[in-house]
Amino acid sequence: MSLYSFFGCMFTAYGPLLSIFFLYISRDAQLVLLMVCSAFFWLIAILLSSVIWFAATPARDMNAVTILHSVILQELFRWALFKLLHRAEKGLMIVSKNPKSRYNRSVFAFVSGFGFGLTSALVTYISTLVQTIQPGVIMCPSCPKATLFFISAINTSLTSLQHITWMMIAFEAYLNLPTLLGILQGAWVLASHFGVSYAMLLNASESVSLGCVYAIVIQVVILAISTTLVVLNLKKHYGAAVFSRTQR
Amino acid sequence: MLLLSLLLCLACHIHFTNAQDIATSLYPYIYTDLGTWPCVRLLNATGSVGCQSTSGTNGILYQLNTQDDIENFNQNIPTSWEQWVVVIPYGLLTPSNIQTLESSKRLSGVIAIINSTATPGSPSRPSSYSPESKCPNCEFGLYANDADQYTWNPNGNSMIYEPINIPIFALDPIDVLSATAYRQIMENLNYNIEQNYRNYPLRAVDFSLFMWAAVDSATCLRRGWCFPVGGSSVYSTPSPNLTGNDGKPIIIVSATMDSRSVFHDLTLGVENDISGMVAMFAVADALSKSPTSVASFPKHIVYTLFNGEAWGYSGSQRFVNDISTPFQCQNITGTNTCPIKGAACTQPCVRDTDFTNINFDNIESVVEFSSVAQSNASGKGFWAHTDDSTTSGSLLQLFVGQGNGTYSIQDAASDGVHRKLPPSSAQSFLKKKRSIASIVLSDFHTSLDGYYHSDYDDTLDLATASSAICSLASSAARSIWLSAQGLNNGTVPSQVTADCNLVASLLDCMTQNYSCSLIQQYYGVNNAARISHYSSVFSFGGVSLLSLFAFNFLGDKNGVRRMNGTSPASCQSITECQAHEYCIRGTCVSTLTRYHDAYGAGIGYNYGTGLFDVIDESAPTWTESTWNPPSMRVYTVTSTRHQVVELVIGILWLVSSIIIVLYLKRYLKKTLKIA
Repeated sequence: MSLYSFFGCMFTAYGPLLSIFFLYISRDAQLVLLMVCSAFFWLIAILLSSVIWFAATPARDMNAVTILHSVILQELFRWALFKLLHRAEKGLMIVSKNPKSRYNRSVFAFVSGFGFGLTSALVTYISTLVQTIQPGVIMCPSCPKATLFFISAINTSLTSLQHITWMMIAFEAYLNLPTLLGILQGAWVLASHFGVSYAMLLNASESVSLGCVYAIVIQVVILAISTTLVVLNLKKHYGAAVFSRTQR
Repeated sequence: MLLLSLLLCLACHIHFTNAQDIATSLYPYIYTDLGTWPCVRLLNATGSVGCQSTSGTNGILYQLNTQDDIENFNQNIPTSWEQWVVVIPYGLLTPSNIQTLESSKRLSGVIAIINSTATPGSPSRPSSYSPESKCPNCEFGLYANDADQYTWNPNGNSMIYEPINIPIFALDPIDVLSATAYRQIMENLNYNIEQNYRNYPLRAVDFSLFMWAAVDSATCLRRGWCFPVGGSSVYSTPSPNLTGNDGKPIIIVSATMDSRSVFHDLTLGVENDISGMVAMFAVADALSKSPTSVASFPKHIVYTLFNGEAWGYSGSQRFVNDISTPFQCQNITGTNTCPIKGAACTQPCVRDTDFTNINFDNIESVVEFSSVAQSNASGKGFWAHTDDSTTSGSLLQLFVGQGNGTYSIQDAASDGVHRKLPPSSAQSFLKKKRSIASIVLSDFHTSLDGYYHSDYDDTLDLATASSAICSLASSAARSIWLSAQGLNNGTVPSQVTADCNLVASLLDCMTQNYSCSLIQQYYGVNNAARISHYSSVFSFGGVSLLSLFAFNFLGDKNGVRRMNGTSPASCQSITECQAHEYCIRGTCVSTLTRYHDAYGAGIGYNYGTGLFDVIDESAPTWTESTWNPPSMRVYTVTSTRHQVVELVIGILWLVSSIIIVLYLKRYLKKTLKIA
């Protein structure tokens, strides 16, 4: 019976990632390489974060502290990844499918974001997903009618999409860094990353009724704002070409 | 492709790392593992009995309290697709009830509540509940071929002879672990009751009870997936020089060491076996205090305490066979398959050959203590059962004459109905030679104790039981004292009296506290409170806790201490004593007290293969299956509907992702000529 739950949770958590990977990224070896590279950057960030968690024994049970250093580290490694890619941009352009394409930079940002999203989704959720094959469940403390497994699946799915938008906004921001626009966009990435992460604490809250719903609503709102930012950035760069269809 | 496989490998690496982690992190938040008392699979020559389940079975906890609840189970369950684990009082565990529940197809397991507190007796029990057959072990007894055998156990429902393919576990809070299990199950069950079994999430349990053995004893013994049920009997005599040709008649004083019930870990048997065993111990103690040593009497007294008796008189039949057939040791050359170290003979594989000194033809009479705890206290007296009033007449008169006051001994046939012997080891002796005088002493008259071979046979009224057993032991000791001298009446010295404090201590040690001070006098025991009285499985040279105590106690009472000058030769272990001596209670003792193998007479050891075989299908051939550690855990489940909703949402989310990606790709391709 719990095979229902297993496939339900798996499709919910990894549906967008699977479809993006198999329908887009896997068609291009260079993008796969880029994705793996980005995935390793996220892994290193989370490795360092877990070292801190392991060393800081008294803070182990304090999720707020763990989120704090984990998010900061992830953002630092996002910046490091940007630095690396920026330096290697010329090379990347040469080996890419369309070396002359002016959209490559956005594609690289998208794929790097996908690498972050995929790794975080695998690392944070696969262990939980394995448990859904077994008959027992944990109910979500803030939403006692839903299982923690399924709520986590929804959050995993949304977070993986957040990572894609954050990466695209962040790359844009780092390129424009001295300007106010760059600072604002960078600040948005950091702030929304914290916002999403801390909103997730509502899931485990027993005092906030329907906390998991609030967490999902916050995720969706942030994702919507980020997506709008991404679209605006794209429009700014490639406005005529991308959005000409509607104008034509 | 290489990169893809690299990625997949990365993913699988993450997967396995976390799979290990969750075993320590997430598992305890989902599952509560509970201590278990399972019903297990046993086999005989023709098939199997007891419980097994082939795979992990699970179901939602559901309470059934009454017979009506069981009969209406099929109509009352709220959904017709979920599986249920029913929690029922032990007293409702009958073959017909299990059949009724199984026929619903919605039953995945049964949890039977024996007691709700550490003190046995609550919730209230039916006045009788016996999972034995109506005529226990009659097919292996003296009257197996009689046309109309007396039905000794009219209340028996034969539950222990049912082959059951669902797991059945018991709840009985006898110690910390089982009290936790009881509390957990009841808390979760009450939660389900509050939710009316409809308002999900509900609480469920799953079981693992995989039994390796299948088909029958011959098959599983050949495959090595079962072991013979049995253990070690103990016999002891105060006559150190007993030999087969000394011409002295032998009086056997006998009792049963083991009991039986549905759940072997919980087998106690206060009435059936412990009371009789304690009575025999008290008699051995009383006779050891005789001013003239009983060793000098014209008749030998041999105490026998048989193991595996609940399984077709395994212990007594094997003992009788061994002492009545000439012993021939074939010391084989080459491969030795006898597992006993320092065996007196490797084929047959025996620890010692001293049993050959007991000449079966010299056995004149058998005195046996059956259930004597007076727990139902119906007649306040004891009954002496005999096979035949002519051969056993004088022995019977002797015992009846020595009965006293409150606890008189009456002839069971005094009401004019001759029921012959109840289930007893004496039948094994008489089966070989009908002319042996025999007497079986019991507190029941016309039918066995109401809780015969039941897990309910666990209550002890210590004051009543010890005074009853003490009184009977005194009467019996006097009778045996007279009988061993060939006297029919006379004055028995006052020293030959049972020690009522000893009886009380023995009862306490055997039922609730194996680490009691009495046993500590013999050897150190830690943390053994209540021990199982199931004989367990036989192994060469193996000794159970019960056999160990019986050996030490009887060796102590019947043995002779070696004196070092004026004080007894002290010892810490057997290595400090001389050959053929034992170190009992800190002194070197020489005694004719021995263990004797006890397993079904229909099972033999194949010295060629080193495996047990079924050699006689008509004799007892009980074996116990080997099993994986049984487990029971409780957890929360959601409804199937809930799970289907999750699946549908997942599929919708996946499909819409695919559509969006495909659409965007097409859109970008058209407008940008990329992707």
